Amino acid sequence: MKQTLPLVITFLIGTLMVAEFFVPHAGVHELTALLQEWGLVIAAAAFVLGGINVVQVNIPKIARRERDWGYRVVLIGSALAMVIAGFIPASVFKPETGAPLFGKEGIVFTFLFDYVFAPANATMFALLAFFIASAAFRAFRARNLEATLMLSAAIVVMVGVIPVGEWIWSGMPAVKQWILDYANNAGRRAIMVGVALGAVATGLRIILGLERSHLGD
Amino acid sequence: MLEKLATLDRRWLFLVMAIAIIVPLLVPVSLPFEASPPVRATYDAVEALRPGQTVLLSIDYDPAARPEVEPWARAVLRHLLRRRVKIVMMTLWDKAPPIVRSLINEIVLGEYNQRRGYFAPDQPGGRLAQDYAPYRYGEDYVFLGYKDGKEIVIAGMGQNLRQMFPVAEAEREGGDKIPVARIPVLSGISSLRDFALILEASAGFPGAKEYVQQVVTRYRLRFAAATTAVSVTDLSPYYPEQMLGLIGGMRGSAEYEQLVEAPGLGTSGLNVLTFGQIFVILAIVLGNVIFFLQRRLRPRSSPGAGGGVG
Amino acid sequence: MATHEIIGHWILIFLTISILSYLYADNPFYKLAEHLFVGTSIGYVVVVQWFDVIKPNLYDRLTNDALGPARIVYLIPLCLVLFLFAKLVPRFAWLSRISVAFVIGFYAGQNIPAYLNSDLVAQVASTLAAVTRATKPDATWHQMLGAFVLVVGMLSGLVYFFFSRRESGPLNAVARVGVWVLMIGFGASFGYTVQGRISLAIGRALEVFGMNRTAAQAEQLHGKLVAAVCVVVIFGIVAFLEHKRKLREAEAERLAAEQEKRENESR
Repeated sequence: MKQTLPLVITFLIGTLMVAEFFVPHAGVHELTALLQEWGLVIAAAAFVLGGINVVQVNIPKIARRERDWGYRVVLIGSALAMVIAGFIPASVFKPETGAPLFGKEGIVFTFLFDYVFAPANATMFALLAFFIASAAFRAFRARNLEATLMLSAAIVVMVGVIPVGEWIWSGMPAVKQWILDYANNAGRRAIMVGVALGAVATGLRIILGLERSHLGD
Repeated sequence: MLEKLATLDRRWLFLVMAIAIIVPLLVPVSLPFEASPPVRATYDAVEALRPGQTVLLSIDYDPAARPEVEPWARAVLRHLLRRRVKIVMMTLWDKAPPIVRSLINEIVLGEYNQRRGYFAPDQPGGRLAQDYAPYRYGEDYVFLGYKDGKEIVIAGMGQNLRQMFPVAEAEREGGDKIPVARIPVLSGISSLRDFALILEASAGFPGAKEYVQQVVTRYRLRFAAATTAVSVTDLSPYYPEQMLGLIGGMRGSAEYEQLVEAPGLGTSGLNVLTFGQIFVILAIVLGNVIFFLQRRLRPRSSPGAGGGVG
Repeated sequence: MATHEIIGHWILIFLTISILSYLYADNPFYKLAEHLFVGTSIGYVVVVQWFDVIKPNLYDRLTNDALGPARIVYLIPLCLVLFLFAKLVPRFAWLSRISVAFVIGFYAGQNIPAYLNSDLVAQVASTLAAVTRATKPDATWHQMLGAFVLVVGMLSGLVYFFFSRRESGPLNAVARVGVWVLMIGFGASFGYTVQGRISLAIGRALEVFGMNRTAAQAEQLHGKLVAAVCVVVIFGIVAFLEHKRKLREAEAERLAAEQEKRENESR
């Protein structure tokens, strides 16, 4: 049962979803919409489970005073601060006008999001701007025909995107758009067709129970 | 000298990059630019909407992608308000609800309803706005909130929107959620097929690609999206047959701002982007000059096989 | 502006510069910001998943009298959620497979027709549409050239993926063309990626300097001054720590060399 039941469930849901695409019956649509709602609840619950897992992994390491345990305290502390601020009901401290202090739209929760999470999140990705400049200098070399084609396309697109490109030659954006619409789309569509066939094959393998890695087998 | 340049500490490159960004910000310059066809097509699709039609605006980005797609989100929200269409907002990204809240507070409540900024009587929005009257929550616009489930939610909305979103966010922060049955703006809407147009600000997965795959192609929906620049080449095959329009990154956002006459962070960012991109182009050229000079000086060293970007 | 907003903005600047200091070297400021980022992200997600998904789509459904007896069906997703949490108890961990199997069934089933329809059939149709446009009397030369590149490029790309072999042959010549087309596409991707990455850095600068706010607000925030102070202090400390680390490393190397020398001599 531990093995068979999950395989049967995947088979039934997967088959229903494929069939739903081809069966224009209102009852089928209603049933799939209901099941889809359950699906999104489970997906959401997985995040909560993930949160619990992080605590489970980090608390023993803090208790054992392992290397960098202080940072782990920061991690767990900030996560808890967010959870507590979010779960205290908004009605606990609600001024006459403006936002409440607590709750997921409260001042504390929003403060932590706007001034701690958001800048850290954005700056993590902003680091890539610097690394890409370094990559461009060190690794983007016209070693052979293929690399030269790639490099030329990259430069045309980069020049076509900035207003200086238009200033140098008014046709520059059109050349960039042509590369995108035709040369890029040609290769991209070949990839898409390949990926689509792969996705169908993988989907079928999962539905038929031939692929079981997601079940931990 | 060549060796020194070839093995240059990359922190010098980081420093020049920082200068290329900060200096043009402090000493602004601006060059004229034109809107590309996919951006103009999106603008035209919004322009063709009739007052009272209902549009879905899916805000699917996190704070990290803000500089790329938020200028468009702000510009298109102003455009939709100007067209006096009904707006249903939602998100598939867990980090987006505070962003949507701030868009509503700033643009719908702050600018439009108080006729300030872009909607001041002498500003473009104020001049062009149709049948001016304040936007009322629930009647003219609503924010449905966030749902997890990625493709499942998108496909589910294609079947039954209310099953996925049984309640909408409260009008004010901290208020109780409102059952969708009590929301007039959703009265004629049971699935994605009932929207006159679907617009999305997309920063990756789940985003424009999943919309196209799960519902747009299947139900032949009218759909346009602004995406991060990284996704443009992936989404380009969907334009123009499956996507009405495609706005790529900061440049696309700036183009849209120009079309709606609301120059903002996209436009000012684009001028800075120019210097950053010129620096990267120079870095590529310089890297290659060094590479070829070194190869000429050491003819026996074998040229490598690939040309990866590292 | 409220005081908490001004203080918040200074925290924002401090964290931004702390993370950027990683460009100089890994350091405690970066690690602190990194862990704050991960921690707040986890806490945030748990709160949002509960209030935006689990509560309205499960808890409220089960407790809503207006739904009548029909709400009993929501006991099934409740069980699936509980099964998922059974993962925390080793004895019952296998139950979580049922919930995973349920969700995976959707992704597998939904994606089969979705990919076939939108990424296979529609792409072939779109390519043919481009060819049709190029054969119309009012077509321009670049549309015609484009349609040619599109068809030849797509087909040769497919040949490269599905039929290319190690040994040379006519198919390999076609596959080579496929590689060229793919390379142009990757080049375009790189060009756009550069745009995207630099945009994000610009976004940080705009926010730190308060340029995304009104002039009056920006004046209250003193973004440029606070940023300059943060840069000097954080980068100064990081450079000092880095210098000390290098000295320590050099000392360790010297000691190791001496030790080796002594061992050699004693042998």
